[in-house]
Amino acid sequence: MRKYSLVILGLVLSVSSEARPVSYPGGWVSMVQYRPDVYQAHAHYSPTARYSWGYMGIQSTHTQTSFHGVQFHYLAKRWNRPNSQANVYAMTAAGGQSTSRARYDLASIHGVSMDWENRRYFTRYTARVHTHDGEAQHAGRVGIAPYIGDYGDLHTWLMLQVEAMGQDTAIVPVIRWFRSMHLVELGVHPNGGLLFNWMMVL
Amino acid sequence: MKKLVLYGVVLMVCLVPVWGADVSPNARIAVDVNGLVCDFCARSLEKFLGKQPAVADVSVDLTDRVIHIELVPGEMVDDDRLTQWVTDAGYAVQGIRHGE
Repeated sequence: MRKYSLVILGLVLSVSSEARPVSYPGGWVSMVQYRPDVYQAHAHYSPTARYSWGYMGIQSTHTQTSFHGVQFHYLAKRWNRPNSQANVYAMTAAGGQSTSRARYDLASIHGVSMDWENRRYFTRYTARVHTHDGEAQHAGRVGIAPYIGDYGDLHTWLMLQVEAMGQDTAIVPVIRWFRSMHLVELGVHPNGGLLFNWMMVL
Repeated sequence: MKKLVLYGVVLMVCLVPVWGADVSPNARIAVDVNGLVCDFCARSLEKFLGKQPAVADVSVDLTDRVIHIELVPGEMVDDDRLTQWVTDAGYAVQGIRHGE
């Protein structure tokens, strides 16, 4: 099994789980993610449709370390077309990363994300840098809807995510379902473990 | 007799709002929206518009990319305000049609 430092793995996790970095004005988004050895939780509030701020927490059961911090997302640009939408987001997070049970170091994360989608296809690319060690992570995701549902239906997406970190690359297949204000993802981690994401918009 | 006629007129004036209880054409508005490609994301637009006091009901049509808005009886919303609502929610207005 590849070994990642907690925060690097967490960055990759957050990359894959940011399906809605900014919500509608006054909206809340909560999200939990489970991987074989890392749990992650997000909660953020969007005062406007341009930015959100909230909490990011990552817990590694493998290394018994954690990160807790404040995250901020900004919608830098959006293109609303009749049949598609594209977005560019910037994000930053700052908080404490535990390196042992009794010590927290200050840590920050910075990144950009861009996506394009229509009702059939989805693409997204995300890059993040962790200032603690300068590691950069990249993730690309492509998806296709096997059927196009109407408003209110259960929607299904088949997705493939490629995660790159240094010399390591992982390919993660994911199935996404969403209905109303709930979104669920199931995937298979390269080491064979299951991935689970759940998101709710309030 | 005159009192009877007067009472009848007053009664008719009071009943007009009830007789006109069907939603007037001006209370229904269709807004053509750009960027309406995702059900999960469009929920946000529905929730934001639904929070406006003048709005009684919102329905989303992803196929035709239209938001149908029904206003609270007696309320009026001009096109500029409608456009601002949709823009504030993160989308773009392509057109507005009243009475649909």
